[in-house]
Amino acid sequence: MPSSPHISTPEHPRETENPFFRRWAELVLRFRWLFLGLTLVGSAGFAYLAATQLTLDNSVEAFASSNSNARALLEDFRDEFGKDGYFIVMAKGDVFTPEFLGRLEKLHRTFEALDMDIPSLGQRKQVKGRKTKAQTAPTGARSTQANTKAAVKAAGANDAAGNAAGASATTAGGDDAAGDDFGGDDFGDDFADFGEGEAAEKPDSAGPNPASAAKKTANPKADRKIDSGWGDEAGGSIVDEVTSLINVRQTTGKGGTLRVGKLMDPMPPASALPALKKQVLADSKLVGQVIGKSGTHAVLSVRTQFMSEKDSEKVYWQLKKICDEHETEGFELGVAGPPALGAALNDLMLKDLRRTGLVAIFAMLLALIFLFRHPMGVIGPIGVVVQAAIWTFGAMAGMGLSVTMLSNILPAFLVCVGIGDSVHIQSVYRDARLDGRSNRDAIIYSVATTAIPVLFTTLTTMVGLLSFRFASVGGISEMGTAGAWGVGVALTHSLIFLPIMLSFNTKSMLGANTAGGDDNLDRFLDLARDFSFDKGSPAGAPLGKKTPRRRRALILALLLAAVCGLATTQLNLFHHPITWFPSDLPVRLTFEEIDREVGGTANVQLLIEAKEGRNVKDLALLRGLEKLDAHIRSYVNPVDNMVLVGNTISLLDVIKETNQSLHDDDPAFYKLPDTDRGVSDLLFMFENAGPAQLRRLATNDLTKTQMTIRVRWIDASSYAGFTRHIETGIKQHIGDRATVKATGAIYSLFSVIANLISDLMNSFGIAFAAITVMMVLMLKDLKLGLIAMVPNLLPIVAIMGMMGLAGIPIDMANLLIASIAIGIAVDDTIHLLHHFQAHYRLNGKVEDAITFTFSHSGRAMVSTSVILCGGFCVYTTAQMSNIGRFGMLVATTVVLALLIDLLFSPALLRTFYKDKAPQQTVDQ
Amino acid sequence: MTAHNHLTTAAVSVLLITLASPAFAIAPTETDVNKIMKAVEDRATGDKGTARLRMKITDGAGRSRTRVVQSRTMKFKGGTKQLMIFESPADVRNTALLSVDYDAGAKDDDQWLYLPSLRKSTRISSSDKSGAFMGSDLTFSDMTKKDTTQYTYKLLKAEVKAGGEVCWLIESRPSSAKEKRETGYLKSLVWISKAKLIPVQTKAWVREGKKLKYTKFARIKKVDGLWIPHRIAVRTVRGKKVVSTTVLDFMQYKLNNPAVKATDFTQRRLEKGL
Repeated sequence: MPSSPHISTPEHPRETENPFFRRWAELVLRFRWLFLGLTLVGSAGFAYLAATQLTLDNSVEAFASSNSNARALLEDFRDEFGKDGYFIVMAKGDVFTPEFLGRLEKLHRTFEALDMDIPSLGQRKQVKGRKTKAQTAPTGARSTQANTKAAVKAAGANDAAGNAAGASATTAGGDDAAGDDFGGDDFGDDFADFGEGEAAEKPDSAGPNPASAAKKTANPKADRKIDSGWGDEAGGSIVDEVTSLINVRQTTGKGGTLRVGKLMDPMPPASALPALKKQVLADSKLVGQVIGKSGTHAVLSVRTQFMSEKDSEKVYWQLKKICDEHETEGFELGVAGPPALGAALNDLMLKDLRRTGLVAIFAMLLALIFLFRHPMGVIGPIGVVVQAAIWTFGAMAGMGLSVTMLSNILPAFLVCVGIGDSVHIQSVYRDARLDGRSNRDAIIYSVATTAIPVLFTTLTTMVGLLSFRFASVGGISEMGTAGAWGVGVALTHSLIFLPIMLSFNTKSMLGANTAGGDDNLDRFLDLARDFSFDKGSPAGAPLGKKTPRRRRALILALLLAAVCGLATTQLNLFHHPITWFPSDLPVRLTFEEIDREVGGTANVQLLIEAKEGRNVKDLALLRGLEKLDAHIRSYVNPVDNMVLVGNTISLLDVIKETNQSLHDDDPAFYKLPDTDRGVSDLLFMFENAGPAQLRRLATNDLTKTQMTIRVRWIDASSYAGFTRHIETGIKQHIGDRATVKATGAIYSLFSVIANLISDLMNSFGIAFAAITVMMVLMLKDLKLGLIAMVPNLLPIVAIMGMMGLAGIPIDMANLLIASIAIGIAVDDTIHLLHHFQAHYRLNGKVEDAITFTFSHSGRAMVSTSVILCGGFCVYTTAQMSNIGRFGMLVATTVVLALLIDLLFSPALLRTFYKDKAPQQTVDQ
Repeated sequence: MTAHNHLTTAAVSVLLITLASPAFAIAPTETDVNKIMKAVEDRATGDKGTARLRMKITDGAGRSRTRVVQSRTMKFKGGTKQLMIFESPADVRNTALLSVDYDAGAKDDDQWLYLPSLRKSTRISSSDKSGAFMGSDLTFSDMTKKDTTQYTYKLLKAEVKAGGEVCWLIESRPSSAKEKRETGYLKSLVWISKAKLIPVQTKAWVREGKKLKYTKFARIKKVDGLWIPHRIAVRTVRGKKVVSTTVLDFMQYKLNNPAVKATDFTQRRLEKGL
């Protein structure tokens, strides 16, 4: 094999030093104690922030779009109907036995009485830039008052005769009645003052005189003493409602008497249970809501108010604890539902975070010890990465960003990036020491010659991460911001902390090959460099018979691009959070069992708003909704050929149920009444029987209502057909009588999936364009900048193509691969081309410049790639399957990026550059 | 005593009768809290009351709904009867409720509901006293005359001022788990006017969902020698958020009205409407 001059020459050619970074290194060394002190103080501050304020968030909302119409609609829904996700507890056993029901009742009562310290109870996470309609107390009284005044004024005009008041009020979309002879409506503000009361007048004073008493108002602080909110009163429950077989509403009518009660109030005797079982399992409204279809799974829905993710997690663990305490043979319990999903993910993520963080640092330690063979070569890089991680999580806490399943990868990612920067600087430092420079000179030289490419690589990685700012998913966008900050911090520490640590090294050569000669790495680099080297053919010679190796390399690159490019068309979308859990994890098993036996733990909501001037008591609208309900229930998931919808809950049910009850439970009357007045009467009746339930189904003025559709968890992209089915049904059956929109946290998440590909293309496109421009500007050479994009782009095409060929789908985690990979691939390319350009400008010889580049940067490139690869391989130890897959894919990309850079970049340089007069000659 | 009977008792008892009070039934210097509460509960009330009632419910989002009801009540040996006929809005006009609230706690109350679209009245039976009355902030138990033996009281302040009245400030706690469950309250603070011997404001701790309920009694006027609040406002609050507010206004309030007759409290009258 013909060979170019050996790259592992003991004499290291000098490279141009950057004057700014030279001065920077001198400054850091001169005031090293000051810089060290400031760095450590900063680290302590960020560590404090991270320890005290950092939160985890793997709720459905964290991955739903924060600014889309779907999210806005979801917030509208929550304004009107409150929290849409709740805990679902499954109890498995022989349900219709006295023993089981006794245990179920006990569990039910324990949940009902659940009292915990939940500081955020009632607080809803606000979407930026959005105001909810909810009032606050006590100042919110003003808005109530304003509304009331407006209503009274409007109503008063219709109520001259008093009892004709409501005649026109209903057409305004509500029940607004009138009667201005009731006096003004100026009560609201009085709620603002609910203290102990004013100072009482002395008994011997002039008697009760409100005017004079008002002037003697007691200390306002004392007045507020009583009104300190809930205070420390014990015995309250954080649970708003528990629904189960024990208390599910039952309205029955017999012999002209309507009984409104609870299914098991009183608890039926054992002899009545077989009949009750038959009755319950035949009730389509109970099956899927409180009982599974086979009668072996009871379900308890535990509703709470909005609260922070952290507090929701506390509730989850408390419910788990209660379940553990109540679980016995024949009474198996499990907790599921969207809040449980978020809490379980947080738990798993935290465990993974600890494991991957520790393993990554341990792997780095080994790699650094292997590379630099001295504690001084280890302390600096480890200090850089640990501080970068601390500063990043501290800044996230300060900015109010939560750690999600996505930002979970940041510690290991920053370890890799930080180590990469450090290795490049330390490698040059080591070579400079080998050349006989003093410790101080070697530090300054290494910083002055390496800082520019390290800065470039940092900037390009930051651009790759910042491109996620354009993603519609909040979790992705925030991860991009935090990651970019972390990469910047890693660079800063590499240029401050690392030189300071090296300044304490007086003797060690940090494992330099002082004996000379080749090692395996040198031989690998020789092979790579010569892969496209044709002896006797000068650089810049046209491709032909005399350049077989170069031609082979370029054809191979083209083939790789073509095959992998074609394979990217095979990529599929897949998003199924339940599958992230290990298959034997109890929470996953519970979700799957409820899906299978009960009919689903995920809810989609329809928000139905009557057209202006109407309300949801409109019979024609209700008939349309009835058809829509049947249409939605009929959907069969084409993937498993099973019905997707487990149950629906809407105003229709209560109207029909009440109608049947008022007709002596005759099933023939389980239908909508024949007139609008009939609807109004039935709702009036139901309002008396179950006002809380009605409030969950319709707004106070009955202009809006909702339908809850309980569905099984399936891959989110598979919901696309279901959402189209819903849309078709809305068009067919509702017409212009109302606006009907599908929403809910789960639905919002599904809608994000549809945006994943555009997110991917947007963020990658932005990163690619920005990095191309940056490369051209940094290298100040259009041709070289454009050449650089080939080894930058090819690894991305290659990995995406491999994913397509291997059937690995795009999901929420590996969606990031393209943008992260380009950030990584660019690093190698910048180091390679920067040093090529610097040497080529000085000496004018293409081969010499390539040889110098491989000599100067080759080892560091391979070392950093090995470290990055190892670092990302750490993720394969994660329990969350999606994170493991992500790590494996990025590690593969790192290897691909290195190989493509080492094998194909020299071929491109040899094709587009030719030898020229050296700079020194030109200058002379 | 069933919840729906409390509904009727509510509007009747609380709104028409139980809040009626002759002045100065007990010395303003009294500090025995049980005596005070007993005097409040046992105070003289009127009979044969009539009124028009407007109930306005505003939810946390500021959406409101108003209903106007005509009500009449009459005592009988062993209890109270009440007839409520909805006047407006149009889609509930002539819907009517007739209830009989028995003084004997063991006996279930009776209630009939007339829905015009069915053209017949139906007897209603329910047991949930902590449920909201007509979707308002008032529960059926709010409207029931309290059995003072089921509560423990504590005098927090012998003299405070609230709503322009010199009051006792009293803490009230249900002493039995049953009462706690039925009312839904853990405890209440009650400001009782010394001059009028009626509550002028209350604050109650709602167990479910850790909510607080504030009530104000206002426009207190004398009707037939008894002090009657003509406005009751109730607000439910969770944390710093208003859940909902209900304002009840009364007019044409009369006691001992000779127009109230026993025949007003029959199913036939219930179905006749306004």
